[in-house]
Amino acid sequence: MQAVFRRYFGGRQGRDLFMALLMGGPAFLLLALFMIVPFIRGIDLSTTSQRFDGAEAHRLNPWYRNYDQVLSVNLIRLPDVPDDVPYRAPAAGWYRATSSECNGCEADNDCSITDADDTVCQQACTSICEQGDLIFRWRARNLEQVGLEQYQDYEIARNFAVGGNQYAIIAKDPLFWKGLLNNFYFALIVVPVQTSLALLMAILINQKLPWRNVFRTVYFSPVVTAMVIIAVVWKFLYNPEFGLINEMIQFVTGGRVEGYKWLQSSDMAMPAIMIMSIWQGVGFQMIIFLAGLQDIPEDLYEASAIDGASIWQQFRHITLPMLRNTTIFVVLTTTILAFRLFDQVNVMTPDGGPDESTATMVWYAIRRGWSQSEVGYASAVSVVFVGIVLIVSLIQRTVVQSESALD
Amino acid sequence: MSTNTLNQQQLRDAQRQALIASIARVARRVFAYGFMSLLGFIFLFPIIFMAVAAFKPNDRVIADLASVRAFLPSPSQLTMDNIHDVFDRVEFELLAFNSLFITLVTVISGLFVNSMAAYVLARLRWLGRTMILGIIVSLIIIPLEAIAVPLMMQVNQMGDVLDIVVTAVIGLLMVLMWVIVWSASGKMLRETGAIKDLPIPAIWALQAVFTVVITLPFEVLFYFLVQQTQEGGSWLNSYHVQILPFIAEPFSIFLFYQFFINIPKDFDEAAYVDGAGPFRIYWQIMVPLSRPVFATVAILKFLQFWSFYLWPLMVTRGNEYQPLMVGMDFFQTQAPIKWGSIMAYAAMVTIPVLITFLLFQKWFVQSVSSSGVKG
Repeated sequence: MQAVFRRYFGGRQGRDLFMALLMGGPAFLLLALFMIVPFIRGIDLSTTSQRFDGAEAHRLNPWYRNYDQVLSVNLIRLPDVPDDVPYRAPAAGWYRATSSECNGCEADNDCSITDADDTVCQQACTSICEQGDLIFRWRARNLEQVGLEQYQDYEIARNFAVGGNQYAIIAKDPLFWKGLLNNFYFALIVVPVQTSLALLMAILINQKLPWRNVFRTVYFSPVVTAMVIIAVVWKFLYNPEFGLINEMIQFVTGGRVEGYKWLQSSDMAMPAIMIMSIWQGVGFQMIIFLAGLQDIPEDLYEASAIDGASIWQQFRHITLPMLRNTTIFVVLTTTILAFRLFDQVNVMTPDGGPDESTATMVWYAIRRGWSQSEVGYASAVSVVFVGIVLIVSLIQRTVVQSESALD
Repeated sequence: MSTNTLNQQQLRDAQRQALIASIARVARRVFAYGFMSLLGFIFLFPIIFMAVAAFKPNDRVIADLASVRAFLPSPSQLTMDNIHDVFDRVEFELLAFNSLFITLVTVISGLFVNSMAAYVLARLRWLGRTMILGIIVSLIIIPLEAIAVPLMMQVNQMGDVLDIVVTAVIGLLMVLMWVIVWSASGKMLRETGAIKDLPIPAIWALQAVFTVVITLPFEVLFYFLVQQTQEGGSWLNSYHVQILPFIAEPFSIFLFYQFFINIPKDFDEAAYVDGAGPFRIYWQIMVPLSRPVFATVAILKFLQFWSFYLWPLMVTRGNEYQPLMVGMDFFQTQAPIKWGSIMAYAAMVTIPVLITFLLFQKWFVQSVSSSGVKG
């Protein structure tokens, strides 16, 4: 025991320990206080009905009730619905309404009617469509009405038709699942596009052309703009009536394409945010790729040129393999950033966009925990969010490692 | 004669080939420049538009959109009205001060705190070093967004700074005790004959039991202190709630750590022989040798906290402590919506940072490159 004591606390080791606590103490203390403690408290809070507005809170029974609410999801086939029941799933891209005025019509999410019999019918459809909460109740009741009592706590998150049958993804908390799907949608598009665009730009800049530093500066400048500020600027650019982007699309296509409704349509809102995010972030990755490119020895290219390799062969067999680690790093960090998506979504579409098409997991956690004061529930969402981020990065790392094992 | 013509023929062929090659090179360059300029336009046009619109009369901002005039300032119509309008409707100077103050304090104190922590992790040999290093590296993956809601709850409850400090010190002591008991009991167990051959998880379990039992008083004390802290006032709507939680940051510590372990050890051994203590070695040897990594962390953290939005949005009400980003979020929806004024606000926030970037471009680029991986 004495030997152990002397080993760790005597002499230089002991003085080092003392100095380590003195010099490292502030950082360790702050990290413990503001990262570890809230993280653990978050796990604790997620099993309670804690609210931020000071209302009475208690431990949930069973303790996992919040998690059950967040995670319950199912895929079912919807039975055929009687014709007199208006039937609408909010994110499906269509709904079918029937009323006393007409036999039936279909409308998309913006309540623009596609095949109404006449004006009266169209008005009836539109009014049904626009009475959001009425439809909400219909929808909630439908699952019971059509003989699916066991799913009475569920709501339809998304429905789709396969071979004449209606299927639906139902969840107790459809908005969370929409956020999750939107995060994956964002990551699946933005990560590959941004990574390859960054690589392309780095290769362009890396040519020994005069003025290349000017281009590097230009490409990098969006990175130093603040996301919130530039998101507001882009919101103006995306304006469907007088936005610059639509004007430019009309100019380039000679007026053949009218432009899009961007943030105001459920199809284009997420792509709009993706384009803007890539625009803002790609310069950062470009610089990282540029550093990677400059580490590749010049002789490799010279030697391969003597052997008659084409530019494409050089890219495929020298550049890409030599950039392997850089690419892995860029992909991993961009993926995590994609899942943390919040700022631009909250600024450009504070209510989650048309049909919640731009809702994300973080946006949803903040909305429940901050706007709606449901700290307990938001903590459960946050814990699930961390879990998903961990799983995604673990999968990526495993893929990377199994690939290296093949080499 | 015939050989001569053949040579001339070959010469002409060679010349033609050289000509084709040089045309191809020029064409490639033209293409490269064209493509790069197109990309450059895409990256610049929102910024140019914003800067130009800031100085236009409000009605011209929308009227000019349909033509190339959207990007051109017209000297006859140059106006400061938008900027005056911003100052009239929000306390822009206060917001700017808040942003600058919060960012600078966070960045500068972060440089000290994180680099010192990285130094003791990289250079000193002490009990629990590897464990704390492991914890810090694993903390990198936890995003702020994931702890924002419980953290908001926490800062709302802990008001009395003293409470917090005491709680934190006790907490730190508790962790320290865990580390010491864990390591010491592990050593003991491994040296005890019968237990030596147990599988590693079993030894870990025994160590855990030892640790929990021996440090129980600390845990109880810590629990009561946490209870007491929760009864204090609120931290919401203040400067420190926007600064304190973000001074220490695992990724910054990691960047410093990576740099420090690559500095040759001979430097500090020599200083140690001369009688210098750890702090003097850190201050007089490590810091001067590590200017690049200090610049890296400073710039990355500056960009991060200058545009910090989520947390200030959650913990501030009203202009008093709000930074520019949250101010912008409210300004863009505040009636009457004048896009000229909004662009003026955006330009006033963006252009100073852009100018700083242009002046210190080398450092910016270098800091971004070194945030990646080597090799």
